[in-house]
Amino acid sequence: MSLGANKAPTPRWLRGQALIGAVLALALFIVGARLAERHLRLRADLSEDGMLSFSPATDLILGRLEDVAQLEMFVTAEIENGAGQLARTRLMEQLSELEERSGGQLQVILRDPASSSQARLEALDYGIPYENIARGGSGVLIAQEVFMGGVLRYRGGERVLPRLYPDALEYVLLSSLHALMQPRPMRVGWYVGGDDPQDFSVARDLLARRVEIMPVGGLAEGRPVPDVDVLILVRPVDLHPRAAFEVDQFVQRGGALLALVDRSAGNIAERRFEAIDSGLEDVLESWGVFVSRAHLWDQLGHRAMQIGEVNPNTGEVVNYVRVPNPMWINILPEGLDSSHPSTARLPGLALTWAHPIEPGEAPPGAERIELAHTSDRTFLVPLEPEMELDNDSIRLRDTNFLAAGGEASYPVIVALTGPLPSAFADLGRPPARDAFTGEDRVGEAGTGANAAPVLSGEGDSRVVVVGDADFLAARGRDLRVDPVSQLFLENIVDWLGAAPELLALRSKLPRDRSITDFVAEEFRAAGLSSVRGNVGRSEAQGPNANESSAIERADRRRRLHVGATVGGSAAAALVLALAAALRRRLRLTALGRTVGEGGGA
Amino acid sequence: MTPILAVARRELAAALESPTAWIATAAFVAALHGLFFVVGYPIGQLQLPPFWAGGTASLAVAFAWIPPLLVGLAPALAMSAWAEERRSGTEELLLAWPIRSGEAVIAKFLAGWALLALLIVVAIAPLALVVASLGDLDWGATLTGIAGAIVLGGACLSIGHLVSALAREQLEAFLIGSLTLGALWALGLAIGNLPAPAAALAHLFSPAAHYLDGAAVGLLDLRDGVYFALLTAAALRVTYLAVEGRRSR
Repeated sequence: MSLGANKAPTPRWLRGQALIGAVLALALFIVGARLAERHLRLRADLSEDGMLSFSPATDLILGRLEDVAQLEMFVTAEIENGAGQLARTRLMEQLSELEERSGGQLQVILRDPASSSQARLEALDYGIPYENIARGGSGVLIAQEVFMGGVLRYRGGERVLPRLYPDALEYVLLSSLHALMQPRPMRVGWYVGGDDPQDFSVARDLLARRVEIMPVGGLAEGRPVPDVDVLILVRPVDLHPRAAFEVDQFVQRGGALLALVDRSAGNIAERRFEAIDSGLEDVLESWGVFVSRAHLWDQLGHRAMQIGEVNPNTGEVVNYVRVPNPMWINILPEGLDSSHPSTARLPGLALTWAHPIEPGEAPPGAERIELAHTSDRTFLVPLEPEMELDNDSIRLRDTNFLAAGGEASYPVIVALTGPLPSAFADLGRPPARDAFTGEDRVGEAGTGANAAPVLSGEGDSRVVVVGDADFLAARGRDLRVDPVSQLFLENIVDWLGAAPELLALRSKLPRDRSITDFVAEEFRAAGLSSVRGNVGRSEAQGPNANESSAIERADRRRRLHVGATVGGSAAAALVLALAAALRRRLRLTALGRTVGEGGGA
Repeated sequence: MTPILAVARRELAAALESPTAWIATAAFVAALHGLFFVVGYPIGQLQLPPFWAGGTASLAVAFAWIPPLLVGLAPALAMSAWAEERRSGTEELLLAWPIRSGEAVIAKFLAGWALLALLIVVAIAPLALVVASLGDLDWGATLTGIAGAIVLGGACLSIGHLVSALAREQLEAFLIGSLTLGALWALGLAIGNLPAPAAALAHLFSPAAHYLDGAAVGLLDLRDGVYFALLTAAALRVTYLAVEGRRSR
C-alpha cells in the first residue's frame, strides 16, 4: 500500500486510502457519540412548562440539607428489556444530577437485587416490589423481575419509596426528603360530619401518605382542637355551638382551616334533596363568607352522570344512560385563580352539587381571594326536595333558564388570610355538651357573655372555604377519588400549612393548552346548550337542525384555519420564488450590461 | 471562506431556480400539514391524535413527522448534488475551479442545508402562527423544535450528499439515501421492542430518537448536539474522500 517517491498514486491505493478514511470517520463518530452519551451532562430545558428539568424548589430543598441524606437504591442493574433499561438509565442520570446539585449532601448507594439475594430479601422486607417485565420486548413472554425503589434516610429518619420512576422521581424523592427534614411531619386534623364518614376515607388515606392525620372529636364537649397545623372539616353537619366555637378559636390562634361545606344532602337514586346546616354559618358569616343553600347550574362547565331506569316488575335498575348534568360542575381552567399556587396549574376541578359562596367583603385587615368560580353561564337552582334528573327534564330546565336569563359566574372556593373577627366576641364561650346526657352544661364556669373574653381578630389566620364536600368522596366500583380533586386537596393543605416548596414541586403540571373550541363557541352564539366539557349530547337523539348548522359553522372555521396555514406557507414560498427570479433577472441585466460595455470598447 | 460562500451561493441560486426544490417544497408542506391536521401520528409508541381531535395547542404531531418526512426530502434535495454533476459532466468543471474538494463538499452541503432550513421554516412557521392564534402555544418548545429539525435535516442531508457522491445516478442516489435514512428512522421505532443492549445502541445511533427526546420537546442537550455534529462531519468527511478520490484519478 506504500507509495514510492516518484510514483503516481494508483487507483487501488486511492481506494484503500478512501476506505481507511471512511472507516476512521465512522469510528470517530461511534466513539465520539458513545463518549458524549456517557460523560456530557449539559442541557437546557427551554420549554415553558419545564417538565424536563428540576425545579428551583428542588435546589431549595437540597440546599437546606444540613447532614448527609442517603438514598439506598434497590435497582436491577441489567434490565433486559430495552425500554426498561432506557428508563433505568434516565433514572440514574437524574439521581446523579441530584447528587451533584446537592453538593455531596445527597448520596446514592446502589444495590442490585438481581445479583444479590441479600439485597433482594432486604428490598422485599422494606416493601419494595418488583415488576415483571418482558425480557426482550413486548412480544416476549419470559419476564424478568425488575426492582426500581429505594429507602431514603436522613438524621435517623427513614422513608421507603417503593417505586422510583424517572417521570415522578423529583416529586416523590424531594417531598419525602422535605418530610424527613421537618422536626415533625405536618399534622392535619381531620373531622368528618354527616352519616357517611367512610366516603372520605380514601382521600384521607391518600393524604396520610404525606402528613400525620389526627382525628378530631369531642369539640362539642369542650375539648379544644388538638395541636395541628391544618384543620380540615369535611361536610360538618349541625355542629354544636361549642364545637363551632372551638373551631373559631383555633383559627383565632393563627390556625389554618379548610372547611368543605355542603348545604344540602342528596339521594340521587330517589331524586331527593334535603337542606342541611353545617353549624358553622355564624362563624363563616363573621368572616364575610356565606355559603348559599342554592345549587348551581353551569351550562358551560359540567359533566355527565349515569342514571338508570328501574324496572317496575323486577325492581332492577336497567338501561343506564349518560345524561349531561349541569349541576355536576366542571370548573373550567379559566375559572381557577391562575395567580394562586394551589390552583394555578390545575387543569380544572370537578364539583358535585356545589353551592355558591355569596359575594362579600373581607373583614378589615384580611384579604379574600376567590380561588374558583363557575362559568359566566351559571344559574342558581333553589333547593328542591324532589328533582327530576332525566335527559328531558334537564333539557327543559336548560331552555327555561336561557329564556329567563340572569346567568352569572359564582365563586365556589374562597380563601381568607389575615386577622378574622370571632363570631363569639360578644356572645362569649358557649356551654359544652355533656358527653353522657347529651345536654348542654348551662351555667358552666367560664361560659356566656360575662366570662373571660374570647380571642378575636388577633391571629394571622388562613382559611379556605369550599361550597362542596362531595368532590372528595370516593366513587365508582373501585372507590377512587378524582386525582385532580386529590391534587387540589394536597395543594390547599400545603398552602395552609405553609409548605411552599412542596406546592412548587407538585405544581409542575403542564399548563392547559386547549385550543379554541369552535363547536362550543358556535353553540353558545346560537343560544344552544353547550357541549363543552367531557360530555356530549345523547348520541341516540342526534343533533337537531340548529345544532347541525352550528357544527357546520364550526367546521367552516376549522377549514379556514387550515387554509390560512397552507396559504401562509404558499405565500412564503412565493416570496422566495420571486426573490430568486428577481435576483436572476438582475444578474442577467448586469451580465448584459458588461457584455455591452465590452462590445463598445 | 470566500470560495466556499461563493460556491454555496451559486448552488443555492441554482437550486432555487430548479423545479426540484419547488416540487419538494410543495410536497413537504402538503404532507406535513395534511398529516398534522388530518392523520396525527399513529406510529410506534408515540401515538398522537390529529390537531383538531387532540385539541391542544402543540406542534408535537408536526415534529414527530419531521424525521420520516426527511427520509424522502433530504435525499430528494441531495441526490443531484454530486450524482447529477457527474452524469452531466459538470463535476470536472466544478473541481477544475481553484477550490479544494473539501471546500466544494462544504459549499454544496451549506447550500443544500440553507434550502432545507428555508423549507422547514416555510412549512412550520405558518403552522405555529395559526396554532398560537387558537391556544397557548409553548414557544420555547416550538422554536427549539424548529431549530432541532434544521439540525436533524442537516445530518440527513449530509448522508444524502454522501450517497450522491457514491452513486452513479440521481435516482440511485435518491433510493439508496431514502433506504439508509429510513433504516435509521426505523431504528428509533424499534427501541421499545429490542433487548437492552440493542435498544441502547439503537437509541444512541437513531437520529429520530435524539431529535424527538430532545429538541422536539424543548430540551437542548449537548449530547444530541455532539451526536448530530459528529454524524454530519463523518458523512461529509466520507463524501470528501469519495470526491477527492475521483479528482485524483
